[in-house]
Amino acid sequence: MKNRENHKIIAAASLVGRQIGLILIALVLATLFLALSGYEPFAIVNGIIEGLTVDIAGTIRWATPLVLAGLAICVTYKAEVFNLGVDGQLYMGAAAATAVAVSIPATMNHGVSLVLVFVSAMVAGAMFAMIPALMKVYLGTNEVVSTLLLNFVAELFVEFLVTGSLRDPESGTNLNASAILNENTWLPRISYFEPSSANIGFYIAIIVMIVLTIVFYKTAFGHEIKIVGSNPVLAKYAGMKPTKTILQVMAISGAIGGMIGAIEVTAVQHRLLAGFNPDFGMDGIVVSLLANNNPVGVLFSGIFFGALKNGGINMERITDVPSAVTEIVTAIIFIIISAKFVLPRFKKMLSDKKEQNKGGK
Amino acid sequence: MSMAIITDTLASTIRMATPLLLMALGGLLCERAGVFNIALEGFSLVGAFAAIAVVQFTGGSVWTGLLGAAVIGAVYSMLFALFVTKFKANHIIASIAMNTLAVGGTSYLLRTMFEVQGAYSPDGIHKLDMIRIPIIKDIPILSCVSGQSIITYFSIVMTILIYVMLFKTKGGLNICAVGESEDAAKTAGVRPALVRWQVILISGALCGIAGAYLSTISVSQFSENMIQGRGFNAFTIEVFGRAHPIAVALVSLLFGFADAIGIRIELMGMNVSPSIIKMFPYLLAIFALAASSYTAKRKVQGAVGHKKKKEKTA
Repeated sequence: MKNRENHKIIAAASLVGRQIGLILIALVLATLFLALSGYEPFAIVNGIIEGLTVDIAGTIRWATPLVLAGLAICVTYKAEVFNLGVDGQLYMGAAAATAVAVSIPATMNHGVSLVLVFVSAMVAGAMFAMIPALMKVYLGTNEVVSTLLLNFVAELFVEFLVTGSLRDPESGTNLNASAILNENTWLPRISYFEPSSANIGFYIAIIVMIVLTIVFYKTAFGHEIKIVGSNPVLAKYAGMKPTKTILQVMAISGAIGGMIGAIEVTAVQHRLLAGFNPDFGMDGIVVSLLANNNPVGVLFSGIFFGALKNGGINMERITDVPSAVTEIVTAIIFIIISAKFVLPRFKKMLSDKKEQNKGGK
Repeated sequence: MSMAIITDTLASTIRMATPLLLMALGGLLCERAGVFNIALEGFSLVGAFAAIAVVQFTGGSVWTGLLGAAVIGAVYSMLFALFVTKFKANHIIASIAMNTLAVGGTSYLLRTMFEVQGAYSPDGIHKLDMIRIPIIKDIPILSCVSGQSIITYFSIVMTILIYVMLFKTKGGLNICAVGESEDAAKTAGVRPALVRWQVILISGALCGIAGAYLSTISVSQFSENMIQGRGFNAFTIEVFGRAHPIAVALVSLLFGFADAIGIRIELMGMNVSPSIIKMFPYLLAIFALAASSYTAKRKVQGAVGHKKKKEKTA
């Protein structure tokens, strides 16, 4: 028994080691890239270190949506469904949150109004995720493309709202945004990190992470998700309903997406802005992949990508290095992760070593 | 509606369909060879940037810009090909990585090479003349085919070439064989990896030209993220057209029409929000995707009972 546990720990440690190695490869490449184009080569590395030490507040601000987006992705990924539509679900959540927030009276209890705003955002996100989910289940439509296309629809829908019915009449002609929301619908910021916009959405993200961990590893539903993902035929024989599971995971994923939208609106911007989302959903994919689709891992990889994003923004403000370099780092991690060559070779090396050790004994 | 408006709308349909067709042609070759390529978006973005950069450094010649975009598009797609064939990368994730790299890479280079943010237009760009076809240009309605850019006619030629290549040559047969069954193709002496390299490179070059069309012919500037999901629409076109070149060309026209009708509505000053108008192509794409998966599902279900009948018709 103990041996088995040891084995598990070794496997987890080697996985963590591999992912850290992967990050290092990406950072080395990015540093070379910066050096070649004549910028301060260590700008990005310094940015990340700063983000994890001095400017942890900025990192938390960016990590909140990234962790949640990573969680939204990992729920569906476990069932072998690709939800590339978190961005769209996020926009729909933000739209619903704003619509509810502007229509409830300013005198309403803070807690009650926040619950109303968040519930409506989550419902909107989940409903929007149902479109590709139902198309997949009943028509066999590939959800990868349908979710990607729906992202554009949702983004344009928000643009439609903030140039039309939700538009702030007092805002200038260049700014497409809703009016500033009443303070009773603001999600509190973490006072320790003032004046940064790091907010208690981060605690929400941790709670969601814990809930998902329990669901994944301790409940029958979590088991079902895994079986549907790995072997739908077996799942059917075992009396499960893969279509139902797919709908459920998409609803959960969409609800988390909607939640990100609500957090961004109520805690960071305090209004609905056209195109406010810098592709959190897309980044969520790499957050989840780097964590090997493990919710606890998502927290750490989300914090890393938060530090990367924050570092990039700080870097652009202080030096002349374009923040787009962070996207390059993300893309490098992305593409290396997509390859299967890292794991098998590593495994082979490990097993070779084990055999050598055995031979030595 | 007067004749002039109809002709005008049809002409802009063809203009909008051109880049979509080029991307979709690249996509259909990949589909036939069993490569799930939604990196069309990223390839095109790289092409759009490359065209502007080449135009800037060669003194305003759009011709070299187009050529440069095709070459750089193909070079960029090599990275995708390398990961998909050599490292057995997951096609979807590798595609998204290529799109992310294209967005980050082009805006990084925009800052580094031209020291601007957002958009850049090269100085002294010599735009290509539109080609007027004698006789046809005087026929009402049909005249919409005249007065298009050279790339439009190039895309029509490419459609026919790809049709002939796919269905009449051994190379085309190899592509389909690799997509149908990798093992069977291997047994027949075809190298799947080589075939996939070829189709991905061709799609990279075609997308490069499509991107160049958008940045040097539609407008004269590169702006960040300027492909705006056209690559995903092109992927849908290719799925809806069942990876058949002629069908794909017709579906591209349908999508071009969705764009053109939006422009027409805006020109007529109807009281419709521009955001809603911009949604048309995406909504059409989602509808097309649903329709094609619905018919595909029915076909599969039907095929079980009528296997012999299906063989006869095929």
